[in-house]
Amino acid sequence: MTLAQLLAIWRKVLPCSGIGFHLAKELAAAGVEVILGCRSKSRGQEALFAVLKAGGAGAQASLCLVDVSDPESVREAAQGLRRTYV
Amino acid sequence: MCSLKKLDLLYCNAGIMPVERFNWAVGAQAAFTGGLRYFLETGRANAASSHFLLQPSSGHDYTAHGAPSVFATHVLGHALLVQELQLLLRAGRMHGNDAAGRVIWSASRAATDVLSSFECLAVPPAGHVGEGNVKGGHAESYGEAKFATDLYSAALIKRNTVSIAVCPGAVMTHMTPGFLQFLTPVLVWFRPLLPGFNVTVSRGITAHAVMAVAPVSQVSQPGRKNVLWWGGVQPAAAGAPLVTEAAAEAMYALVQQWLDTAWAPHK
Repeated sequence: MTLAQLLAIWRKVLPCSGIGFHLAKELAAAGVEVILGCRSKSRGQEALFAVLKAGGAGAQASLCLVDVSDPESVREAAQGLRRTYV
Repeated sequence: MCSLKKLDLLYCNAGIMPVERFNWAVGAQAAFTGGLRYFLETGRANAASSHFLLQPSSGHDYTAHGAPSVFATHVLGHALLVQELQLLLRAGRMHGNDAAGRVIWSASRAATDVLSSFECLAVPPAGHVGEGNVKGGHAESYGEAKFATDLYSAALIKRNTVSIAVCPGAVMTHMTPGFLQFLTPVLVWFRPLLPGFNVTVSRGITAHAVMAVAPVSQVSQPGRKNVLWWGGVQPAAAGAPLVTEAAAEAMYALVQQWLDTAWAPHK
């Protein structure tokens, strides 16, 4: 096992994920309907699963793929949200 | 699923932080000048010093649309999202809900006004490719983007948007360099001594959660940065760069210029 692999494992066991992810879990657990804005589909789906799990039965959460450094991606995501919720 | 008719909370939290190397001199400066507490909470020896996590000084990545990537991620993308979702954030849209949606920005006490001229964040000339025409340095791309966030939030408040800047304090996230993440189990023991040193994300997000329910009149004020302090939320004081109305308006105009030109929709 290389040092890089060891570091990767250690980083996984540390509670050092993002603020948004933890916040989404807390909000879902409090009964808030959550839309996760994520850049990566695979990581977003993992996060969505964790948020739904944290929210328990009846939790409402969905995934919205968006890259905030790309204006087209932001407009597309916003359009999708408006289409769904307006 | 279509149960939402309005966004109550829009957390503008996406962020990146390119780190070139560690600036141990700042740590030494803090140790010898009695600024260790401030250093642990903000990464700086004092408000005017550079940051412990040195960022590329000769420019950094640029997005495909020509914007400095850190500024684009922290400010431009969120600003565009807020504009595009105004309809969903508006008060009283549906079901007699008169409370406007809250735009909540992840702010930082590491914000710096060292580049307050914003020259390096200006829109490049038409036809410009790459970073050649972008003036100024980016020694503090994260700090400058966070200050830009503070300014833009203040400008939104002036435009009747409920906008809130909130800082979780010093927390170890996936953006934090690995060796600091390693030290998390040790660092938590210093928490009782340092009011803004919250270390873990689960504690840091308390401030974000409080912003969802705190009275708007208290937390949404131009220039007010809410920070988690001894486990409670209060305005950041020492070292916070001054958010003036003129600077906030200048930042709003700058962001709008980006959104109207390089970030405008393709015809």
